[in-house]
Formats: sequence, structure tokens, C-alpha cells
Amino acid sequence: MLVQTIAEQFSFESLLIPYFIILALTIELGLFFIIQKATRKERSPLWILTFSVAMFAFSGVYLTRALTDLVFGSSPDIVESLFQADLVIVSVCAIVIGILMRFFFKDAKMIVQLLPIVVILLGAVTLALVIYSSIVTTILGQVAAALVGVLVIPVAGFPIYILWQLAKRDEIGHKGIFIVIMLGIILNFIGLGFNFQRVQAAVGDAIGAAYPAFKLAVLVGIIAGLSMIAFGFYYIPPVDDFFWINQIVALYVLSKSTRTALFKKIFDQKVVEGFSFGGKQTGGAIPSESAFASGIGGIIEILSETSAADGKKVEFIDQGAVKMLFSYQEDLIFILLAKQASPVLNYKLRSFKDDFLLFFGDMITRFASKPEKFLPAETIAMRIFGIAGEKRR
Amino acid sequence: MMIEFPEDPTLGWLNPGWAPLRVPMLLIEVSMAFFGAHLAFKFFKNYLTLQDTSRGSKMHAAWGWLFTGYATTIIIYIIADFYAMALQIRFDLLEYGYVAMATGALFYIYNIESVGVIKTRHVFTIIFGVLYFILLALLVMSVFLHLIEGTVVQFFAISFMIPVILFFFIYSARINQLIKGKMKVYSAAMVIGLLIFMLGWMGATDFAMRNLGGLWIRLIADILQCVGLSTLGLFFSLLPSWREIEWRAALKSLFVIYRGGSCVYQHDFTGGEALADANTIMGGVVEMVKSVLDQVLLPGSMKVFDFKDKKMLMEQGKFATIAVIADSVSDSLCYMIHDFTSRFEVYFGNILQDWNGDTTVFEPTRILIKWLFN
Repeated sequence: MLVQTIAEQFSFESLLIPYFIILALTIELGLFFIIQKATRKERSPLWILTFSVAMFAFSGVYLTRALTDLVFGSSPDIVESLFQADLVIVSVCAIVIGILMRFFFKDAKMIVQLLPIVVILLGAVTLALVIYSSIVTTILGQVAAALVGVLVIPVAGFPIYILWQLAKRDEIGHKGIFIVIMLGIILNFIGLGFNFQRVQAAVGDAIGAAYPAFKLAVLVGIIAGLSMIAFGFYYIPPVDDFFWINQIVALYVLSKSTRTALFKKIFDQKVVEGFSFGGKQTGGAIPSESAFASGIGGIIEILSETSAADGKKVEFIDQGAVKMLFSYQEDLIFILLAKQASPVLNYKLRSFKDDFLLFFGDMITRFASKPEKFLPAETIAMRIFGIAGEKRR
Repeated sequence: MMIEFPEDPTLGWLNPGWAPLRVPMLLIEVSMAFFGAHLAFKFFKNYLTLQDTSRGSKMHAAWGWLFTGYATTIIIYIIADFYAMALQIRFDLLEYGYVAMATGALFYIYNIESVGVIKTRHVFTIIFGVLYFILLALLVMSVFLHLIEGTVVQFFAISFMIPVILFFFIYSARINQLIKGKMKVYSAAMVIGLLIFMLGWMGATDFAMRNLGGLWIRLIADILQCVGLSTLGLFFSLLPSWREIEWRAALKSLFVIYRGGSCVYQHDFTGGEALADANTIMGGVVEMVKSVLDQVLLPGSMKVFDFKDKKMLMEQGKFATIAVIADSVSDSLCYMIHDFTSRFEVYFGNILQDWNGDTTVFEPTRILIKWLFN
């Protein structure tokens, strides 16, 4: 065994420990989304695994960098092989991310739906070129490397795009956390950039003896970035909670005294069509919407009389097939039907109620017999419930 | 058991030959610190985000503090064992490590005494709070004034672990009495995790290293700590919180509603008398609501009515619906209702198939309730 000096050993361990932590963090983050998908089953969209794929790709790339820096730095052939492994990792990652993109963009415009196909094809071609050029020395190797450079855009860009979409849909004050995640990603990419062999060599030439300290600082920066990403993702609710828009079915404002619907907004026509009053029933009498209003009014009255209610009004009913959230104001009942309940929907319903009362508060009695006068409330519903009913992703 | 420092630390800079186990052990100990810090973050995060839910508990904060103390201690130990340039520096650093562990333990004691499961009126917090200041004084006397031996600080700090372990076992025992089914397995696994961790902790001491096989024993001990920590953390997070487990206190009454809306049995958990009117109303209400909603919406299986302070949970069986009024909803309670429904339908299966309207036949249900819910 070679006897190392303290300085040599310290230099080795100052790289070993950061690389070890980086690998642990990336693998853990990769597993985190797989576990989230597994535990939330069909509620969690498949494209959430994009984050896992990106993190596993990071761990693969950092592993090759660690092997280069710690073990094989003096063997150019092995270093070249590890570089080829990096190209394979990015190509495979692009193919898998392309497949996951298809799930994300499945309801998008045709032109957008083509994007995943392009990414998959480009990934496959690059992978073939990388493998071929590693067997036969050819100019194609440089082409493959250039293509990998292009593939980095969707591989890195798509997870960031998803994150942006989540942040846009945040309604419960997690914007700061998203900023932390984004800063973590930026730090990570800066670190990754400085860790590239050519950049590393250029910086090494420029700063000379100070390079080991600089390298340590870069690795610590990557750890900080990954920790910020981990902190953010562990802190925010599961990803599917941000897509509450996919869960809402319909919004009703009912008058208790007249047992009529003053206002309604359908968000998910398919589900409503399945309702008895929704119009797709065959045979027998189809209950009308006023029957729905009467039924709900009656249910609320009766439930408030039960010993469970203690005089209070029901705020939530899990009917099994549909969840019903209620809010009240004197003669009015605000009902939001949803496939899955989440705290943000309660908040949304209350916001809608407040705005509705602000606009129509003193006109409700006069307008009650003419529900069409409440149609402008559509604007309030559209504002509070986003773009539901139109583009939904 | 006397624990002494070795005079020839084999892992660190003081050893010119570098033990072959230095690097693997360094990585395992980094993993321990990493894992401890992770668990601390997870528990603090749960404490902050679940505060207003049935899953919220000060136990999360208690564990958060303990793991913060543990991770800090391990980081200090790594520096002491692997990077100290003189034996005295190693001893001094280890003493900081003991104090870090004691700090985590003190906050653990404070938080666990606030949970409610252990009604000690913060007596232990006060006692160990005073002891903590003595510990700090001892640290100063040992590290800065060199008036006392480092072992005094070590033994004093270890005493903080006694209430930690005691409270852990009391908590586990109380929880074990209330949980059912697979939760019992989780609870047992959590205790096993702690025992493995403690074994690892003891195996990593200098005393064990010196007397039981040197660095190999420490390597095994480190691995045991990692395994113990992961088992403990995983199974604790799978267990319901104390607030959630207290489903018994949340229970108010139970109704068995035969199909069609007849309430055939009612039990009041608060000790009050069952009212005949209440039975009739409840049976009718649940069936009516279900019938109306099934007609106007989609056919479904009614689960919850939420009245803010009170909830009505429903479990639909083949012949009957069980409705339970409770202050809060929890997984444990849902499991109990599900269990009760299955057992009720098995027990009264023959009668339920062709019930003649005689409610007295369901009177033995009280035995089932007593057996399951008490």
C-alpha cells in the first residue's frame, strides 16, 4: 500500500466525502419521487417520474466525475470511457424523459405533442451514435457529443418547466419554497458546469495551486444546491396536489328557500354527465337540477338536526364517488363537487363565496327568481378556479 | 462500565499508517450524520406542517431534537476521530460531542413531556435543565480550565440518555396498548430498531473498540447504528401519532343501520343513555342522504359527513351501514370501524340475511363493542 502524506489523504477525502454526499442526495431524491408515485398511486401522474429520471442521471454523471477525480484521473483511456458513459446517460435520460413528456403533453396541441417524439428519436439516434463511435473511432463521436449537448436542453429544461407549472398553480403560499428549489437547481447546474472536464482543466490552468480549494467549493456548492432541492420537495405537498384543477367537477350556488340553483359552473362535463340529472341517463324519469337543489337543501337541513351535527351545518360529504364541499351564507349554499378533496379547494370555495357576495350580496333576493342575472359570476368562477373547463393539465 | 479513551487512535491523523478501514468507516459515519440530519429535518417538517391535523404531535419535535443532537454529535466525532491533530484535541472535541447529544436529549425530554402521553408535569425537563447547566460548567472546567477529567463530562452527559430511553419505552408501551393489526408489528419494529441502534452506539465506544476487537467492532457498530436508525425512523413515521391514536377519546357514538334505514343498534361511548328517537332519526337520515345523493349524483359508498367539530364516519357492509360520530377522523379509527363492520356482519350474518324486525337480537353487539373498542 502506498503511504500517503496527510496532505494527500486530506486532498483525497476532501473530494471523496462531498462526492459521497452528492451521490447519496441525488439517489435519495430520485427515489423520493418513485415512492411518492407508488404511495399515491393513480392520484399521482406518471410524469412526476421525470424528476426521478433527472436525479438518477445526475447521480450517474457525478459518479463518473467522482471516478475520474478520485481513481482514474491518470488513465486517459478510462477517462475517455467515463466520458462516453456520460453521453450514454444523457441519451438514455432523454429517451425516458421524452416518454414521460408524452404523458404530460397528451392533451396539448398537435405541435407540442410532437416535441416528445422528437426528443425520443434524437435520444435514440444519439445513443446509437455514441455506442457506434465508442466501438469504431470516427468523426461521428463528435457529432454524438454535439447531439448530447442539444439533448441537455430538454433533459434539464423539462423538469424545470414542470416545476414552473407547479409554482404557477401554487395557491397556499409556497412560492418562497419554489424559489429555493429553483436556486438549488441553478447552483447545481453551475456546479455541474465547473465540474466538466474541459472547464475544470481551464480553471486549473488559470488558478494553479488554489484549484483544490476551488474544486472543494464547487462540490460544496453542488451539495448546497441539492440540499435546497431536497428541502423544497420534501416541504411542499405532493405534486398532484398542485393539479387540483383536474379534481374539480362543478360549482353550484343554491338558494335554500327556493331550492333552486342560482348559479352553476361545470368544470368536468364528463363526470356531470354521469350524474342522474346530468342528462345521459336512459329509461325512467331523469331527476332535474332542481331535484338536486332540493335534495341537497333537504340533506343539509336534516343533517344539521342530527346529534352528530350539534346544530352545525355539514361542511364536507364524502359520498364515495364524489366529494362535496359546502359553504354557507344566510339563504345561500355554495357547493363545490370534486373528485378528490384538498385544502386548497376549501380555500377556493371560500374565496368564491366572498367575491360572489361582494358582487351580488344585496341583489340576491331580487335576482333569486331570475338565475340568468347571476351569469356574470362566471367571471368570478373563472378567475378563482383558473382555466378549469378549458385547457386542463 | 468504564469507558476509556484509547491512547493510540488508529483512525486519525495521529496514525501514520492509515488504518485500512479508515475510508469505509469514514463514509459510514458520514452516512450516519447525513441520515441523522435527514431524520431531524423530516421530523421538524412534520411538526411544523401537521400541527393542525390529527397527525400533528410534539413527538415529531421531540424526535427532531434528538436526531439533531445525534447528527451534530456524529459530525464532531468524525472530526475528533479522523482529523484531530493531537490526542488532547480529540478528547476536547469528544466532550463537545457529548454536550451536543445531551442538548438534543434535553429538548427531547421537554417535548415528550408536552405530548400528554406521559403526565410528568415537566419534572424531568426541570431536573435535566438544571443538570444541563451543570454539564456546561463541567465542560468549561474540563476543556478550558483542565480542572476535571473528560470522563466526568462523558458520564454526566450519558445520564441524559436515561430519561430519553425511559420515555421512549413508556411511549411505545402506551401506544402498543392502543394500536391494532399491523401497527403492532410497526411498533415492535421501532423498538427493535432502537435496540439495534443502542447496541451500535455502545459498540462504537472506545471501550468496546479496545476490548472487543478493535476497528472491526466499530465498523460493525457503525453499520448497526445505520440499520437501527433507518428502522427506527421508518417505523416511527409509519405509526400514527398519539393524537391520532387517541381515537377512543374521540369516539362519541356508534349506530348500526340496517338496509332501508332502520337503526338496529346504538352505543354511546360517552356513557350516556341511548335515545330511541336518536336511533330512529340517525337510521333514517343516513339512508335518506345516501339515497338522495345516489339518485342525484353517482352511486357511491358514503364515507364522511364533516361538521367541523364533529365527524360522522360511515362504513358500508353487505347488510348494514355502521355510522360512527367522532370528534376527529384518523386512520386508526377508520380501521376500527372497518374491523367492527366485518365482525358484526360475520357474527350476525344469518340474522341479517332475513331480519324480522326484532332489534333485541342485536343486543350482544355490546360485547363486540366492548371487546373491540375497550
